[in-house]
Amino acid sequence: MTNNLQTVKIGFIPLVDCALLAITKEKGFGAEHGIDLDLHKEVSWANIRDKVYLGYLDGAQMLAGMPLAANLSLMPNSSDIIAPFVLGRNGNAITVSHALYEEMVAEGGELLDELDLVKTGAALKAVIEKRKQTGKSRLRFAMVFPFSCHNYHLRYWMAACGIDPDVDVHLEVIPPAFMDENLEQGYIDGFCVGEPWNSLAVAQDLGVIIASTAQIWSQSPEKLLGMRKDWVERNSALFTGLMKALAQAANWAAETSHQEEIAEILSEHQYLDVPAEIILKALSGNLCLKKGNAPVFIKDFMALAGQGANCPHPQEGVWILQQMERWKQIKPPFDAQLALESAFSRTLYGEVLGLEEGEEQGLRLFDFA
Amino acid sequence: METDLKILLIDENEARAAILFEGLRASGLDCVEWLKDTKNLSERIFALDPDVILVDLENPNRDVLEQMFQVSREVKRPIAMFVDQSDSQSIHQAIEAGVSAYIVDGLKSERVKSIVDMTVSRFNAFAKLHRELAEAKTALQDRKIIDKAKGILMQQRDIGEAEAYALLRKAAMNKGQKISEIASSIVTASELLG
Repeated sequence: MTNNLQTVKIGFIPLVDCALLAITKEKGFGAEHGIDLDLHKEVSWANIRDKVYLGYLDGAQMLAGMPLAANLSLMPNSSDIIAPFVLGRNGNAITVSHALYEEMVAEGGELLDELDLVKTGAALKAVIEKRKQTGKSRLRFAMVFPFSCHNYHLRYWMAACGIDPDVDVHLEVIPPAFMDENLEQGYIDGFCVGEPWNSLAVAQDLGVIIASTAQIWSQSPEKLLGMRKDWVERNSALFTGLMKALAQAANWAAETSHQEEIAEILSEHQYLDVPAEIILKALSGNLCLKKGNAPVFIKDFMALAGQGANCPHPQEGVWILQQMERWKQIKPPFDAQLALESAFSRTLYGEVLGLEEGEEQGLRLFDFA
Repeated sequence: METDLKILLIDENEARAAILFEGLRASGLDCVEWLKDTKNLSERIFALDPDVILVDLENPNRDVLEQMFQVSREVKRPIAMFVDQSDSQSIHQAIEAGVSAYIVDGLKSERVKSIVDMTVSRFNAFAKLHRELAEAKTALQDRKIIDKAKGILMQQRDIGEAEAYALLRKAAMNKGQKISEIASSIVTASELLG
């Protein structure tokens, strides 16, 4: 079976948006292009970074901010990363404890009918103000990594609603698998995390989903395929094969009729080890926001493929760089151009897969103006 | 010679932590703290202010440490590293053993190296012990199942123990299976057929 196939070692974190990697392997798209895709399940983003840096992995599923952070040496163990393929857009949500949800409803009325970010943000701000007056401790929110869109989206939304994420709340990192437990024990009041963790929290009746990050920016890149630059330079044929295999997997995944099979694949123990029906929620965009409520359809909740979703755009990287600067992860001057050419490598995507001529997406962020 | 190096060990595995703890103590490092769980990790680390943090490589809470050292301006900021980044053999050994370390910048690399080397060797010793225990358990179970199968054969065919064992061995050789596997199928079959 694996005769004459060349191994490519790719790390991933068990989240719904590792789907294209799993599909590439399980549906044989990798093998069609001479690749034995050797997928390594990792427990932390730090591990992903370190193992890529040390050469234990050729590349990995990475948070959209990671290739930039690596190319600008914002983290220890940074290596030059080429990120030419978007593995997923959005798919994260913000979940709060029942207690906080009740407080928010008391301030802002029913929130789940419209799922309006402005209204929800105003309710959260009112709760924070009230807590200040009554001398209660700051609310605690968790996200998954400093250089994650979870961090940037949560901060962007809060700041836009008049909440200073560095002053008005306590923001910290908790690994996805521990979010539920921390919410249940009252250690945190809310979190921003990828699927299936929000839906799992709802299924266990631990919290309520109050927003999806797709509402903040409908096209936000969430995960990129990040490859070691020196590996790409040494293995151009293999790299081309990998890109083509991923593009095939993306085409296959774009068919709505394949959603159930994707959920089945991801439910296997070597991937998410979570019931397929929970995984299907994110794939279909039909999420249950609160236990007992009927599922609601959230537009653009998550995009794995289709409509140019896999093609990175430097402008998307610019937004992330702006957030890094805004929240003091980086100080000017920095070589944005150099970082962007590698970290949102549209050129490389185009060379291998061709660019779709179309209207420039631009940044369509929810707007308070 | 600074002996007041503060070391923090984060490990969910109590037995392994104890083995390492004792090793670090024995080499004159008295300032060792151990955290089993990572509740309130940031507060606890601020309070301790360690020079070296040793973490099981497969502990997801490494991402929590990343955040702390990324944004915190108020403490010395340890950085994730694998001893001496140019020493690929050490790095390989650390990764294989599942050891990662966060080290305060400016700490003499030979001091760190000896601590990490000690951690790697103790982690490996623990893994070996763990393996041996598991193997001993399996061997004991195999032993039991073979005895059971021999008993069944002796009863069914009215033969002696040596002969029963020879039968098992022959079947194993013919099928390219382990004796314990053959024994296991005999026991299962006999349970099914009563």
